[in-house]
Amino acid sequence: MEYDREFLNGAVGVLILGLLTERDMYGYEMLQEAERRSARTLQLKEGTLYPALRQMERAGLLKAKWRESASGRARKYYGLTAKGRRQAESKRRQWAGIFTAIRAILGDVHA
Amino acid sequence: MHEQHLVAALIERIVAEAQIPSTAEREDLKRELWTHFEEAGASPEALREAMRRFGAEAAVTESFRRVYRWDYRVLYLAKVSASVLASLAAALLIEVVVNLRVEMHADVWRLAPGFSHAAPLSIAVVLALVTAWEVLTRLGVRCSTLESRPATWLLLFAVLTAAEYGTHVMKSVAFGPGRALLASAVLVAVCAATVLIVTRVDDAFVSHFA
Repeated sequence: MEYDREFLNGAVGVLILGLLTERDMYGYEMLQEAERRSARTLQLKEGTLYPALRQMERAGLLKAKWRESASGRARKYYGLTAKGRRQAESKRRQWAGIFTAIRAILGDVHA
Repeated sequence: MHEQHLVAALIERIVAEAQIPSTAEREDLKRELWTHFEEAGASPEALREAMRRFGAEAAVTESFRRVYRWDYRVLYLAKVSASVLASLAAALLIEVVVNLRVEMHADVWRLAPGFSHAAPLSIAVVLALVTAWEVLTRLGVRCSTLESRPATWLLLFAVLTAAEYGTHVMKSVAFGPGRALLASAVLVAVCAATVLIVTRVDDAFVSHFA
């Protein structure tokens, strides 16, 4: 199913915060993880992810560090700062509220 | 491998056009994007697919520009301010040197009465030149070639001399051709100094993002 690109772009920040709530990840890993968890429904353009990561790092929501993985390859890992964690929780609540409201308006199509 | 060169060129272009003011951040971004494509796979097909999935180059570059736009604007403002201040200082120095008179009997230095007319004109010329430079550069005109165009400078000299002379004749102010030549030579010197300074400041600004 094709999704509205603008709609997905607007959600990139929320997805990043959500993914990093559990553990630190590098860019490619975030893309893979988002794709896996959404059963390949969400296929973000990689070019959208990296500017968003930079923006959030500059806003103090993320901290980044180059680390060597088990395979010996160096990767830039991103993690949430305290401000990022608060933002993640706030966004999660906002999206849960919006999701509930939209379901109430549209109705449950599977019901 | 052909695809690896394509990826390297793509990364170089994106980073170069992203207007990132810090060299360290540019290198960091190159490294991160490069590891991204390495993760995507080593085969030509995998790299082609990764480039396709990466998105439109112009859109990605624009997204990065948005991230760094305030840093860029602050530096741009600093660049224009440096150009204006240095050019004004040079223009006033030229005017002071040309208008400085020594009164031998009193052993004092003073500025010629014409300084009060010439200095504001030079300031106006500097401000107009810097403004025109920035506008034309944004429109894609390469103003830096002015430095090596003597014919343009000669033409400017001739036009300014005619303007100086003509203006004073129209106002019925005594102003001979000799003084008109000197006044326009000073203005050409002010213009040349401004172009020299703005070109150097522009070069420094561009190399900062390279």
